Amino acid sequence: MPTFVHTEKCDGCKGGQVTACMYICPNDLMKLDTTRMKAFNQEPDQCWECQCCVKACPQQAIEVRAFQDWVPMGGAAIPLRTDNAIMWTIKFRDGEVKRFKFPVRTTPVGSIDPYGNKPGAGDLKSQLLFTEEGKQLPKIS
Amino acid sequence: MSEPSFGNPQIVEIETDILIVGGGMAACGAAFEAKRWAGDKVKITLVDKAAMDRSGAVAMGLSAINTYLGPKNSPEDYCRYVSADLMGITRDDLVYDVGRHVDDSVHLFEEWGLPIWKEMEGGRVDGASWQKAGGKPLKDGGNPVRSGRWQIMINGEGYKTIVAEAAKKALGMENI
Repeated sequence: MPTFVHTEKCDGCKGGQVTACMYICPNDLMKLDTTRMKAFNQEPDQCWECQCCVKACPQQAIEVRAFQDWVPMGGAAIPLRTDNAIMWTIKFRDGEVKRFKFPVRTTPVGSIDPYGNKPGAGDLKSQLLFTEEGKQLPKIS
Repeated sequence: MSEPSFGNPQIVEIETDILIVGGGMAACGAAFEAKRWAGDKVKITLVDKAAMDRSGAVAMGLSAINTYLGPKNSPEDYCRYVSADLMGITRDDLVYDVGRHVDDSVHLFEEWGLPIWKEMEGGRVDGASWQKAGGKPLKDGGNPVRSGRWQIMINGEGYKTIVAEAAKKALGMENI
């Protein structure tokens, strides 16, 4: 089942042309109603419930209407993501709340230097990837 | 012209030497590898219908990497496992090639920041704690936590965001 937007929390990313949810949706489903300045899911049938927009929303204004098998009526499972960790808040139907925190990254965002300490292009006819320079690949004799 | 939308996409024409269609894990790997071999004179363009940080089958992350051989498994054994798992309908040459290259890619993911669980003295340590506990990365002999013979456990919510960052930087954002 798809995402929905809490319109009282959504601020349309303060007038930006592309809101955070529009940018991040793998299926390009989120759209901004420019009259009301509220985002909405324009094609709910296509939604994967991947939670990417929920995690990206700076106002925490988006929620997934979850299936009953993992979030029964009255319960909730809400992610809160930072650059290096994610915390899931699980609300049970009897009111009990549990929180689970997991790391998502061990290096600072933006710190990857793809070719920094890597070998250059070697022999194109060799079967080695460029990062495997100098290695001996296993072979079937 | 009405504004571009779902049923009325905007059309842009681009000339390029190599076109990578899609921005999932395979496309990111192709971008990273191809750009190094091609150099600066060849234009490589990657097109994605949405954001590379969260596109493809790994958009919301994974909790394990299905294949990591490590020092104790051989590509031959990997071929036998895949063949048995798929009732013999496999291309052993392709599977063998995956088997002998996959560890190198997993090492890159770990270097870029993917948290990989470690088996250490005193028990299992999550993907972000082993460094403080004096553990080693996989490429230096670190011992991954296994789930079965081939699979290793990760804290992989950010898997795709990490790999996408490397691919974007490899190609340059102007080519995406």
